[in-house]
Amino acid sequence: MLRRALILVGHSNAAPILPRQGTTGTALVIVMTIMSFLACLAVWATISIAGATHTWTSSISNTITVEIKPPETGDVDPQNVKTALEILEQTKGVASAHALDAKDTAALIEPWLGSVGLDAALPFPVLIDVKLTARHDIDVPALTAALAKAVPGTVVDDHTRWTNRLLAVSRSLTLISLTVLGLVLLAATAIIVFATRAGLMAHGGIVEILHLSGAQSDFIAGEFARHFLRLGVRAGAMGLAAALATLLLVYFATFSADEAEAISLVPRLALSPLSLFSLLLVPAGAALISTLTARLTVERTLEQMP
Amino acid sequence: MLSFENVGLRYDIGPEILRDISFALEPGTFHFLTGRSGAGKTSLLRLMFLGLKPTRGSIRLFGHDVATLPPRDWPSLRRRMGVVFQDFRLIDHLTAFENVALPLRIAGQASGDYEDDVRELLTWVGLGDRIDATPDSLSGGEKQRVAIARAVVAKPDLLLADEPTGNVDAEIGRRLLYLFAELNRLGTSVVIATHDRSLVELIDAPELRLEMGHLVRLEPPSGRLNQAARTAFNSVES
Repeated sequence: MLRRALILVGHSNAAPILPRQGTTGTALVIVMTIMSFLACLAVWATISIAGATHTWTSSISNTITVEIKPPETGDVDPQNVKTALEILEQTKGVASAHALDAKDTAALIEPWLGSVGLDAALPFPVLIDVKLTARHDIDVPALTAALAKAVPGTVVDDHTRWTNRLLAVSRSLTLISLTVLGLVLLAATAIIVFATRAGLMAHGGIVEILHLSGAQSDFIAGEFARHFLRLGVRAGAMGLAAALATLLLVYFATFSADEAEAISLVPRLALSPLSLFSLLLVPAGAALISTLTARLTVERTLEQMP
Repeated sequence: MLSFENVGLRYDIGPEILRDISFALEPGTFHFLTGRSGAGKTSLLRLMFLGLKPTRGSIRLFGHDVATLPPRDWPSLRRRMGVVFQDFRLIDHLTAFENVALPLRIAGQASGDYEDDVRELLTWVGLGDRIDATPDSLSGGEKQRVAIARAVVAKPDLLLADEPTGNVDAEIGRRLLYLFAELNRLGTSVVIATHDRSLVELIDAPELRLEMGHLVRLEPPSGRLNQAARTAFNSVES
């Protein structure tokens, strides 16, 4: 198994038959580094979007909000609040129900109205924060009907409209980032094919000598695979380093801003252990793509030689 | 070992440069391949080492009909041959040692198994002090000796050499020819393409001369022909 793997990458203790310099130029290393950098960002974006969506939706998916609207004049009748709480507590699937008081309500609208507090003259609805044992345990339409019958003017918001929109946006962004990742992989593969063919032409004399000396296609392809393995690892590592530097820069730049709490959500997720591990797969992927593409390209080209 | 039957060769739509070539080489024979410059000696050698496909005719190599042999089996036949190219074809970034060891490396041998043999061979061809030199620092004659050492290092069944002494002085030329003769004595069939008459006269061996695209066989002046070669050639001609 190990021997087969070593043959696959053209392992040998002897000096490489292809020269280290000149088989592929510096330009190819730069292009592959950029490809790896873009692949890292695409991987990071995919994981970050998935993580952020999960965080946002999980925080609201197991809650519903009941709003008891005030009558045209005056405040909400406390008895109605009590009745609604009693119904909620008896409903299957409800873990707890808590009516927000004036202080909690004032805190909710503070970002928009400032810290002036609630105007006692203004009619405000009463909000009841309901925590569920599990989303699938509760029958929302039945609960809505029961509350509307007992307390007219009650609205039940199970947040599905918000979560559905969020998931739709998340799916779109994930699709875009995966498309970018796919295109980067495709471009990297095409570049390696082109570079391998250029390498075959540049070293046609060496290939011919090997060919006429009885080297199997596997041997010659292994020499090219070994060269491109080194290139892939080097470019992948440099691309990863550049991507990590960029992400760290973004992370600290946004975290130190005044509104860090609001806008640091995604960068904070981006540096999770899963993200870092996934990014480490990019250099491995670059090396694998480079090696296999070079090997297949050489073998196909050699098939056409006499 | 190697036989040609009515082989013809043309490049693209050009005229046929080799016509109705028929001959056979048996194991242990020694032949010179002669002809004026441009007569087709190199093309005929390329057909022999499977570097070209004939336009017509049949080639049998080591008991296999080349036309029907799958290309994946060609490398194993090529590994039984050693080839000295007219332009040496050394790999520029490899040392003399690494160039000579190339066929053994291709055959899958570990460097520890062939290191002594390669050093001894390089010393024998007078390059004992140039083992670690790369081709760009070698003279034409030294490159030629490296190319010859590479061709013989794996002790091939068939050695094909294209003007192998063209860039060396007379003394080294004779020494290399005796190396080929020694290989031949040990069982390797040898074909040396040359236009150097003085080289042909050093060994009593049949001469395959290319004239106007046809192959003509000439006996050595002394008539002391290698019996195996005579038998093989006669069997094809008859």
